[in-house]
Amino acid sequence: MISDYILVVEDDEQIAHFLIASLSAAKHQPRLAKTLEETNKCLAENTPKLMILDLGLPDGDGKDLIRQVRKQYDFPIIVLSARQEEQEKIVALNEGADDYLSKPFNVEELLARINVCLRRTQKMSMRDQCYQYKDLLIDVSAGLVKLEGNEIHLSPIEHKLLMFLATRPGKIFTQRQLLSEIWGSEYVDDTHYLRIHMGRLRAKIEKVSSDPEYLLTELGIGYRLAIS
Amino acid sequence: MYINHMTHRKSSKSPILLEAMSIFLGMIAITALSHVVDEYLGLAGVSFLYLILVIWVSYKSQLVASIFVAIGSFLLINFFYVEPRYTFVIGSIESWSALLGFLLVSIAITSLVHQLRRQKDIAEKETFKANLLRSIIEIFSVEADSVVSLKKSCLLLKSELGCDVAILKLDSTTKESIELASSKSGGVKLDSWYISHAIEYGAMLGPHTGTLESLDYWCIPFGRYYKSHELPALVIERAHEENIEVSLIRAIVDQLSVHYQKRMAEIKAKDAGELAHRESIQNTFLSSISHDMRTPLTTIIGASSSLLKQSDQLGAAESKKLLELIHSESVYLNDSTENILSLVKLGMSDSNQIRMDWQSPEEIIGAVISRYNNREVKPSLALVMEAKDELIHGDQALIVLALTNLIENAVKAHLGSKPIQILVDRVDDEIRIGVMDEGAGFPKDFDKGLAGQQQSYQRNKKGFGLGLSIVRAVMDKHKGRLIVESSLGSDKKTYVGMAFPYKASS
Repeated sequence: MISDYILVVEDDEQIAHFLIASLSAAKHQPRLAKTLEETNKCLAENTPKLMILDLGLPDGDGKDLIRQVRKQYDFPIIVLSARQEEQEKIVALNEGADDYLSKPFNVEELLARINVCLRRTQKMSMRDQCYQYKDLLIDVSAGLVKLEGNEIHLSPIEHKLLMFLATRPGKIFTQRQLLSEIWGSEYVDDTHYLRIHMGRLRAKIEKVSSDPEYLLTELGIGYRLAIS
Repeated sequence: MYINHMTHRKSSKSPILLEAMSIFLGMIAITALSHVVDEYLGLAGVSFLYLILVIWVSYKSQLVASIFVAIGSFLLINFFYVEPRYTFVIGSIESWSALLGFLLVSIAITSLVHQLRRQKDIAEKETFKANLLRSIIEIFSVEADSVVSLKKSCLLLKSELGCDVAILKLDSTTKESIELASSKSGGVKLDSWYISHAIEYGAMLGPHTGTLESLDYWCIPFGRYYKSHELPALVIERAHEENIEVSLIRAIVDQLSVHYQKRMAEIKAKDAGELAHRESIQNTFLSSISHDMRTPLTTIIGASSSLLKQSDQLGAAESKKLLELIHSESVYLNDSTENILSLVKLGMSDSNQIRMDWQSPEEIIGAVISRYNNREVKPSLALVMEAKDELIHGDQALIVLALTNLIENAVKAHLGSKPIQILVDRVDDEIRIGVMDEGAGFPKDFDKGLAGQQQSYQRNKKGFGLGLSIVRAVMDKHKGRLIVESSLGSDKKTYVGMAFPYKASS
């Protein structure tokens, strides 16, 4: 049964303290798990609506936990990690995490990310296959892209790329995931394809390519489609 | 391969018997011919035919054979064509002078031909040697890695000399031999005692060297005069089987040694330079942080202790102001700590740890600019993309770090009303990302080559002044360069940029 609480998996006392305090202040219902064992216990009792996970746990690897959770659950996972550990973030996202935050982070930023994840979950549950944000409308089921009400022409690769991002707006897709999905698994190292096509896609749908509103870059990680 | 090593091998000489037979047959043929032409040409013509035979044998054979033919020819002429005929009695003084003439011709031609052959042989050996040494030079000038150069040299020597070779050195602690390169997959095995002996005494070992001549290897140390255990030795197998001159081997080893030592000296100089660079970076930020880190920490400790101890006396507005102060100083400290950690990491990491990939300059700049969107006071930035479709091959995190520092420095120094420009352009074989502001520039004597090496330079009052050190270190990792141009145009603009080597994305 999906409950209304947010599961915070964090072993550091201080960080856990301010996370619980901040989430409570923002009218969420946080529940703290300091170890892998406590996390499994919480999951067995009730399914959370979202999980905030620090990858470094005293009794196990956070990435293994993501893999284990994804076998059973669909709730969003936001990963907390140190800024330098980019490879860790990529692995976590590839395993099924939805978003990440680098330490140290701003509480407002965390709350915003939580809201994005929860909104996306609600939309998915409504089987809403239409993405609309500002002037951009993407109808995934009809394969239609409109900007300011006008249909825009995209190349097959650009169309495929945009449709794939629109399947889960707000979720970060790693470069590897995108290259594998759009070009095929043998192209996962050809990042210049992704850079070039993303640049062309931005030129068609963004007002200012260098300051994108829709196609957001997660440096060193991948891309996401903006969500209000 | 242009080296003709066959000239240097043992020449396949005709068996003596075959040579004697051909001389014998030649004499019979000339005698038979002389009988035919005797009545037309007379004694002079016959003597001329025998003289040709003497000249031919002198040219083709050794001195003994040519003297034998000269005497034989004289006796045959005397027997068949000089009165009294059919007897070996020499009847006149002219006959003796003819014998002397034949002998002189045979000796003179044989010695001349012998001398010419020797000179030709020497010339061929010298050409072979020169080509071999030139090939070694070419290997070292084309190949950057010294071990790969030695390996290729071993393979070259194997193909040219026909025997397996290896370059071995001694382990400084165990004194066991370590193979640096070899032409043989299993390696060339020679007891490390011999290598140690050769290196210690700077002496060649093996056949015709004067030392351990019974050894079936040549072992030649790279160091001829110094007893340096850092230098290896060349080992050649089957020394007794191959007809290789010791002087050639010595010349090969000298050539290898010169290039190997030069390469080692370059590596040492580079290591020393990098060490000095790392030390200077450490000195720079250690001296900077000693003062600059204490300032925000003092503010944080002071403001937080006021909130803890004097919360009752402080009004709500004052408390909020102190909290904002703690927050802003914490953010500043966090950014500064990131910079310091990055610089330390850059100083410690080698090129292999850099994650090179294709990067879009527009995307990177966009991501850096977006960080300013949440700030209360947003700097005015304008992007000028001259090279829109070009990609950079580099480490995204490092480029972002360097660009962030360039923008931060420009924001702090900028005094003009126009936006700070971020420029991306391609100039010749470089993709440049630079930031142009209208603030205090750099002094005329500012040496950008020393930025981050000897001192940091602060164009603004606040900060650690590590920005250029970071940019320079990042550019070093990308084999690019830092560009600093002050007092540009009538607006006195300052341009600080990163030039990345252009690489086409396939």
